[in-house]
Formats: sequence, structure tokens, C-alpha cells
Amino acid sequence: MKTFLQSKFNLGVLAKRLVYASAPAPSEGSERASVTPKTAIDFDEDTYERKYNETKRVLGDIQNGKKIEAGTQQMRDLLKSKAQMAIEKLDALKDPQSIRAEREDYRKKSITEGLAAIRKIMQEYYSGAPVKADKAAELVASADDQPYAPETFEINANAPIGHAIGRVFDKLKTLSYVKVDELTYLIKKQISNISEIDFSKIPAGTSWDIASDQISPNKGLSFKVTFNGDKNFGVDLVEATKEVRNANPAIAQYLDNQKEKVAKVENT
Amino acid sequence: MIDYTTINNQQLRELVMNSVSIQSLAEEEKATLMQQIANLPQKGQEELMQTLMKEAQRFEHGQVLDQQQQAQMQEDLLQVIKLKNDMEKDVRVEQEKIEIGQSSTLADNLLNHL
Repeated sequence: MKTFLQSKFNLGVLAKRLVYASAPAPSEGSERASVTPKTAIDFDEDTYERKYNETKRVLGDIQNGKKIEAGTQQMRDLLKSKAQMAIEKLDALKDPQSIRAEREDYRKKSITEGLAAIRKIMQEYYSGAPVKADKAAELVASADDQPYAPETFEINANAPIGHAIGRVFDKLKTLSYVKVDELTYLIKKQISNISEIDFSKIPAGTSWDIASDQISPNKGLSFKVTFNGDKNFGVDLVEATKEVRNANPAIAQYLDNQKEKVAKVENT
Repeated sequence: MIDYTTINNQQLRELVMNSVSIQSLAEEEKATLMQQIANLPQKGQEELMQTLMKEAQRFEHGQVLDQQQQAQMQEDLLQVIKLKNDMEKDVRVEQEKIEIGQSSTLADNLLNHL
């Protein structure tokens, strides 16, 4: 029985050998020519990335001896060596991820430079650059859900502090400062920070005359406004607008310039 | 929704609408900027147009680079495929050699027994 099976197996092998004997022996040159892709391939970056990664994996497997377990050591070494060379060739090609990163860098750099050029022009004409986007978003998010609409901002004129601030706003609106909306928005944000003020605690008789040189309605409050009411351009919000100044150096510069003008007027 | 119609100069308006850098801004900042652009004096508008045209050229150049890169990638893709195919073929050839060697041994054994 065993001999029969053995014979059957061997006959099969013999037949296989005859088939191999009649077929042309594999030659490296002819094999290589046949594997070069000749037809056009639908190209997109994902295909490139997929093929690149797939090839890298296959070559790595061959180099690590995962594909060839049988055969002579010499044979395995030859394949590993070929795989190593192929990996070097692959590494010489551009990695799809680095191609994407380069493109994104170019785009970001172009946007940054474009915005810088635009801001420079705006600064030239308006003496103040727009608030940075991230800062504006941060301020909007923290402004008690009140939309940015300075023109509709309502001040409670009956409350002393509201009255004072209202006067400040009125004065601000008369300035020839084109970015007044931005400034008022930032001040509004500050006001929203003091929205929890208990106005009843403000001592009766506190003066809110913003035309005076130093208005300090800040007894019990962390809020202070100074306003040179008699000079149209004499707005000094140094204490009250520390945050404004920090948020936009151009505004700080503007306020400093106004202070200088006031000083000059006073000196003359 | 940004209202671009506040910019009277049509060329400037189109440049602003197509500016990648301006469109990348947050809505609030974009709105502020539109207000400023709308009120720019003539000279400022001209300066801004020049700037935006340069920016457009830069992005056009970027697109050309992209196209060149795409063409290069397409060539690279063929090389990548060839590398993989060649290597797999090499493996198959070696495996075939092993198989032929094994078959020959077994066949020789059989012939010797006959």
C-alpha cells in the first residue's frame, strides 16, 4: 500500500519534472522585462502612497527572510541583498508624506506672508492692525454670548457706571479713529467682565462726571476709567484697557500717541 | 456671511474674494478687514490690489509646482511598482529553482527504483 502511494506520488513528481524540462528555463533578463508596468496607471496620490507603503513592506519582508524559508543560504543571502538594494532605490524616491508636508508648508508660508503684507497696508492706513484671529475668537467666546455688534451695544444709562461708560463711548465715537469698533468691542468685553458688579454697593453721591480729569468710580470695583473730557482726542484708558493694549499693540500705540498729543496741547 | 459688496472697486473685490490668505481668516477678523478695505483710499486700494495680485501669482506658482510634483510622483509610482514586481519575481524564480531541485531529486529517486 505504502509503495503504491509512494509510486503514485513519485509519478506525479516525474510528470512535473517532464513539464519543467519542456519549458524554457527562467532567465532573469526576460523575467525583468516582463514585470515593467507598460500600461498607464490611474494616478492619484493615494495610489502612490498605498503602493509605496506596500512595496516597502514587501521588500522589508524579503530582506528579513520572511518570504524564503527553504533554499540554500546563498540563495537567501542573494535575495536579501537584492531587497536591500531595492529598498535603497525606494528610499531615494520621495516619500508621499513628505510631499504632502512640503505642499502644506508652502501653502502656510504663502498665507502667512500674504496676511503680513495685507496687515502692513492696513496698519499704514489705519494706524492699527486687525486683532489676531485667535485673539478675537477667544474674546468673542468669553463675551457672555453677546454677539459682536458695537453699534447695538446698549448701556444702561440709569446706572451711574453705565452712564460713565456711555459717555466714554460717545466720546470714542467722535474720534477720527477708524478702528473704533474694534476698540469699543474690546472695551465692551472688559465691561462684560464687570457685569457682576453690584451697583447698589457704589456709595451714593459718587461722581461720574467723566469730564473731570480723574474719574475713579472704583470704590469696591476693579475698574477704572480716566478721561480727559475737554480734549476731543484725549482718551486715556491706560488702566482700564490694559487688556486692550495687550491684545493689540497697535491700539496701545494709538493710545500713547493720543496721550502725547494731549500733553502737547496742555504744554502749549 | 461676509458682505463683499461694500468694496466698490470690482477688481479689488474679486481679488479679495479669491485671496487664499483672506479667506483663511476667522469670520470676525474677515468682517473687520472688509470694513477697512471698503474704506481704503484709492492709493491704499491700489497697494492692496498689487499685494493680492502677487499673492495670486504665488499660489499659481504653487499649483504649477503641484503639477510638476504630480508628474514626478506618477513616474515614481511606476518605479515603485517595478521595484515590487521585480523583487517578487526574483522570489518566485528562486522558489521555482528550489521546487525544480526537489522534484529532480525525487524523480531521480523514482527512476533509480524502476
